[in-house]
Amino acid sequence: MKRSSNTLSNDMPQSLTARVSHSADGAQPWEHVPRPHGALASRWLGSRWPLFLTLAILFGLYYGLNHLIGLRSGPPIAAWKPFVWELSSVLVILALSPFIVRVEQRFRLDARPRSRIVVAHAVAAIVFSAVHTTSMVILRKIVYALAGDSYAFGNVFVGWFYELQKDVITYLTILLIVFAVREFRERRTGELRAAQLAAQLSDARLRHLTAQVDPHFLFNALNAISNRMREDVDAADRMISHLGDLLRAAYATDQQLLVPLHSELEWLRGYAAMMAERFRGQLSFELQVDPGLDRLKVPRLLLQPLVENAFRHGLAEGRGCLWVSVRRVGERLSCTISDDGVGLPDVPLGRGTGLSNVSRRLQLLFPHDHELTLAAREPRGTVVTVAFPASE
Amino acid sequence: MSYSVVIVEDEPPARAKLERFIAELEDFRVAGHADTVDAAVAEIGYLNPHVVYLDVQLGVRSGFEVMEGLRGIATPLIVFTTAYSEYAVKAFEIQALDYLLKPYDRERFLQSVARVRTALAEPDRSDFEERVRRLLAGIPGRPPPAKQILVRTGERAFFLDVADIQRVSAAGNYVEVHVEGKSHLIRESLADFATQLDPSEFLRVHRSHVVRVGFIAELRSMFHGDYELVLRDGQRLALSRRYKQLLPETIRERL
Repeated sequence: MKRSSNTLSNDMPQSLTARVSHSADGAQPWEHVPRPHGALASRWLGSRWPLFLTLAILFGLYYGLNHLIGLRSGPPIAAWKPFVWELSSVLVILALSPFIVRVEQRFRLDARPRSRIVVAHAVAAIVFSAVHTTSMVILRKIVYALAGDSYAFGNVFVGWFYELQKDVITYLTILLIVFAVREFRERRTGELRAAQLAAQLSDARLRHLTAQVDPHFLFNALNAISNRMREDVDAADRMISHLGDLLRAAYATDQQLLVPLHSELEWLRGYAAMMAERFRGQLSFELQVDPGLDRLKVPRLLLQPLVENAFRHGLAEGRGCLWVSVRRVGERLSCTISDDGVGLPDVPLGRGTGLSNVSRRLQLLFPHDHELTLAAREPRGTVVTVAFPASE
Repeated sequence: MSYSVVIVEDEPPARAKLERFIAELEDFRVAGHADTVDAAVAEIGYLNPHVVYLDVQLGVRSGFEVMEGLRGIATPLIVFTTAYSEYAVKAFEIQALDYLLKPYDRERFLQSVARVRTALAEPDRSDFEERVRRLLAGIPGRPPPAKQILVRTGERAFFLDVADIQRVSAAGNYVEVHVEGKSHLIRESLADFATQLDPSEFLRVHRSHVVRVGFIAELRSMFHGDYELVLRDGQRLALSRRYKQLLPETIRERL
């Protein structure tokens, strides 16, 4: 019975959730992963154009009105002119703000060396002012011409200096706002990501607890020991020691997300040994780990739901073979769990399979650099492959 | 006389333990064993043992499926074994069925054996069948009881509305289903027929009688704690102490 392979690698995350994630709240784990920075500028104004434009016009009208009132004691002037001056200025500033966002990204305020940042922003402020003043003057000249009037900027150097000192303040204000907003967003995203990772881990730990200290597992194991002790005292002793290892691993309370491979494999050996005892003569388990990988870091309890799945669903009748191999493939650590059991279910995998937890945790830990595939094994059974960057 | 036993258990150590304990008994012998639902139904049907030790969890399937499969085939006495199943344990307690919680020791096993011997010595085990029927009816995920039952007579088959059934009684290899004013004969045992009926609506009050609760008119106290039921059609049925225990609590505590 051959079934197609379901690729769950990170280049098609949407299909992954559709198939296996079934998250209770519907939240997509990659939703909060920081996006590449280039997208930020367009996003900054992107969907909020109407809002920013409205605000800019309101500001322009407000300054225009102020300006008009300020001029009431001087020579009479057409009322629309102050509004044109201020609106033209504000709208050009609005149009230039993505430029400030980009400069801020390139030369972040909290970056080093300071001098380089100061020089960069000083130059940017001067460029900003030059473009702002020029564009603003051109706009005013056009509007004046349309009204049958003519706009005079006066002395170019005096005018430009006057605008420059105002523009430096404007530039700094926008710069600080951009910095603050970005900082706030990144912090929130980071906190969210950390919280999600913690939640996923505690979910995994809970699964781990319910897998090894699952009453069904525990009491069957005790029953198997109670039988074994009458046949072979040493074997019964070993079983008790394996059970102890499992309980110890389940009760471990440290919050580490990544643990060395050898400690992750400890429970696996204990769990497999207990299962092999419970289904003696019916079950074979083989663990193959390439030498030199012991110290590599792996996500805590990542393999547990996959192995448990293979035992529970792959080998539903308690008969068959299970192979787990851990290898290094280039820069990645690749783990495969295969069984010769009933194969992939026809229906989408249920919530209880633990696969969704694995996929979400991989997504959070290695956002764009991991692989989780589920495929049919020839001639029968299932192969699950997990790969992620190898690091010490 | 020795009693034959079939062990239904998917974990070899658990089976070995039971076999060892049973081997120590003089009047029990292990006739066969099975480790899947299908093998168990086949084995029990073929061997027709006195007792079955039945594991409630067989891989991803349930030992209760074995009991469903045995309907109409064999009615051995069943001792459930379970490592942990909150639901099953509660159900066994409610129905007062014997079960072994793993891990159990020899003493607990022998206690259960004593109960099994008592039950096997009893010629009428219909109240045990009734407890099992209720246990199975209460399993979550079971389809609701049928509203109509297909009845085959000599040359025709027709549907009988369960709502019309007043009482059912055993008559040799047949059951007699009493509907207002007439009765139909169906070739089936009363225990098997009763599995189609909702235990909360139909009570087994006797080894040969199942009665709709709403059709009971009167309960009369007789000697020695026995009762007599008077039905709405005037029919009188004896209610023995054993069956009195099976009455719903709401009725029982008023007696």
